[in-house]
Amino acid sequence: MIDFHLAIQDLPKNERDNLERMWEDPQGRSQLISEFEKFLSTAIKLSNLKGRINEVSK
Amino acid sequence: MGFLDKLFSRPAVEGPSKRELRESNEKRLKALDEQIKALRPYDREFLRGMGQRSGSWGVKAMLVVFGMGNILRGVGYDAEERKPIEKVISTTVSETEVEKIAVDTPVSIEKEIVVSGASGWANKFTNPGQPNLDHTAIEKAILDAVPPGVSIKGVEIEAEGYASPEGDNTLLTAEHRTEQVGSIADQVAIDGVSVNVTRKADGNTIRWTDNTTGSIVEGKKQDFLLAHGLSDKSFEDIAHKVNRGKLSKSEQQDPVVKAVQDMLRQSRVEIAKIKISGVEHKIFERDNVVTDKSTKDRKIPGDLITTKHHRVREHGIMPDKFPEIDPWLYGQYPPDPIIDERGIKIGAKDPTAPLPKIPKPDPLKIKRVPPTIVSAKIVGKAKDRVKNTHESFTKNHPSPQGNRYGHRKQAGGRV
Repeated sequence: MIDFHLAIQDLPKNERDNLERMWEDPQGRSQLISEFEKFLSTAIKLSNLKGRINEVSK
Repeated sequence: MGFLDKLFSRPAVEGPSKRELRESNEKRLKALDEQIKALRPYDREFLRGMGQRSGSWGVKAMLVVFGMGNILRGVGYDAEERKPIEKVISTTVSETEVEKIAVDTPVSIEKEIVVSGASGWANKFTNPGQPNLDHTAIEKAILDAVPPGVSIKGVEIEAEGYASPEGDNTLLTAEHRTEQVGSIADQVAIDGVSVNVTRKADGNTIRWTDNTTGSIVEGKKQDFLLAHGLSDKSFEDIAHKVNRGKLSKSEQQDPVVKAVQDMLRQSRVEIAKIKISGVEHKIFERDNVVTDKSTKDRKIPGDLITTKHHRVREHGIMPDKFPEIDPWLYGQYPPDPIIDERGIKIGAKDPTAPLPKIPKPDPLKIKRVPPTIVSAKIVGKAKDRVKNTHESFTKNHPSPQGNRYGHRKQAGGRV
């Protein structure tokens, strides 16, 4: 499973505390999951684009 | 019932309960987890890079570079501002270049080798001064298996060992194993070596060649002793002599001694599987390299750029060359025109609108500074003498202590 605490361990303390508070609250957790879903979707799209550009430029 | 009573008696509009939210979160997290597990290695690597950059470096947006020739653009999505962004990379070179880059690729090499027995490793300690054949064989195998350009990061050795009938030191003891591993790691400069030796048979199972059939026999030590008319004591005497190379010429011709010698050799033959992990350094040539004028970074299409070190220009131009890109990523244009720090509107709602023209400075208005001309005029008799010797020096280094030509007075004469 996704390890949230591991994922945020490098962040500054205050930012980490805020995120941890959000994670404890179901509403906040839902928001964070939405953000991550968007991030993942963006990453996959960018990755596809990057792969396609690499193929074209070969 | 008063107004306030009516107001508060109405049932509140209820969202999902905490329990429902928790269940939904769990489901979404599981789905995300599945999605991550199903990622292609390429995507996974990309995602990791993105996470590292956006996490550790505090970068707020990632862009992928695309374009041809020496004009490149970066497109991406600003996570904080929730807007698509685009960066035009202005370049300093007029022609594309080729750049050589080094790429480290993880490699894994597997090799099977025949070693003369795990007991040989222990022999180094039980019989000091004797060559340790196994150690050398394994070390040589590792070095042979690794092609040039690969750095070894770790070695895993799996060996199955037959026991020789000499005693407990036939297979590597934990203590010896540790010392040997350290020794190998030191000699071939490896970060880590792990050795896994398993006993293929118990301490009494040995192998020898059957004299009548010529085939290899596996059996108990007692069977071997019976077949060759040996007692425990006489066998051990011969085995010790064989191990220490102290056989006389007549003993070397003795068929029983030969059989013991052969049995000891057979019992020590093992196959070790060596798995080497390392990193291969390869040099690639990148075509179409341009230099980002603002950062002096060198970029090719497909590269990633981040907005931490780049000034990102947003102008809402949809890159129509890539229609498969999801509209939410690039198709949403900024609601209001964006004005840059010079007061120029660079936002455009119309995706087909051309890029705004940025006025170039009028070359006539550029203040030019004339070059400083340094000259020295030498006259009179001194002219010829000075001309070929100190002219350049006096031009640039007029001495305050010297005469008007910048020469110091010299003893014995006047300049």
